Amino acid sequence: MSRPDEIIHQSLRLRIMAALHAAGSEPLEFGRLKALVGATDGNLGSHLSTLETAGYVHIDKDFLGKRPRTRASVTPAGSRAFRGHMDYLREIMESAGGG
Amino acid sequence: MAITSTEAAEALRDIAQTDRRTRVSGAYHVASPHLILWGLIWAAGYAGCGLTPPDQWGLVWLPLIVVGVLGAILLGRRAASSGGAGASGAAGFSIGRSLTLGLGISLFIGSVYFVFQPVSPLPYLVFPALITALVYVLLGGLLGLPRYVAIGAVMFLVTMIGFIYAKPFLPFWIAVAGGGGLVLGGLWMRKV
Repeated sequence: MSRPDEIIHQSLRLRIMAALHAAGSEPLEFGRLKALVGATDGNLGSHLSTLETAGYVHIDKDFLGKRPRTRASVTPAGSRAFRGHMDYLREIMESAGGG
Repeated sequence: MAITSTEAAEALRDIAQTDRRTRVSGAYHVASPHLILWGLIWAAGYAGCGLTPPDQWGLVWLPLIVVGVLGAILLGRRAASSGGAGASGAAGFSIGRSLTLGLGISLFIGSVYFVFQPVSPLPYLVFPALITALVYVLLGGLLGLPRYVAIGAVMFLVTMIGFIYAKPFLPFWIAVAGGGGLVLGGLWMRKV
């Protein structure tokens, strides 16, 4: 049986991981990620830090011309953890007869 | 931690929705600069048609199409090198597929002209715009990209309105409304 990931299961962090996992190798800019998951600046920054500390997300800060840019991408460990958590959720559904 | 089946279902729905939004947004994001590029080319090409006699329209369009194709290849390579989804054109197709699609559409348009032999220059202006609108609607419908459907529908409407009500200055109408519409559509696609 798969195991739950308490870090990922928080509602906004789950959406962040889903978005980054769907983006694959493409890093997502902070503003775009914020719009995709429906977060505020502070919220997103805080949860990204938590995920980065857990090793699930890589944060890259650079400049595009003179404009500072922050981008996030999922790490291989994060991808494995996210898929494992999804498997766990599906197993709960299957054992409840929810398919 | 204990997760109920209701919570699991809700979490999986959340994941699916976010996944879909991200993939659609990604396709739009990749397509955006291509629409802007081709919108500008359209505007220049149709404006050129308005300023030259019909027998010179080929000379107006040929260099613009070369610029458009080279521009599309460069945009695709830039997207790939910046860690993007790969060398993709509009609709997230690979550059190779996009160019093949464009070539196929051009051959189809040329064949229709050959078969129907239009005697007025107006079909030469309107038909490519209508075909392009159709392609956007079909791609949008088949790939689940509603903004493509909207852009195609607007292009179709604008072209027909111009054909019916703006014949004397149709090239300029299509340059502004069609080319401008593609540019605005490309800018719209940047928004999540």
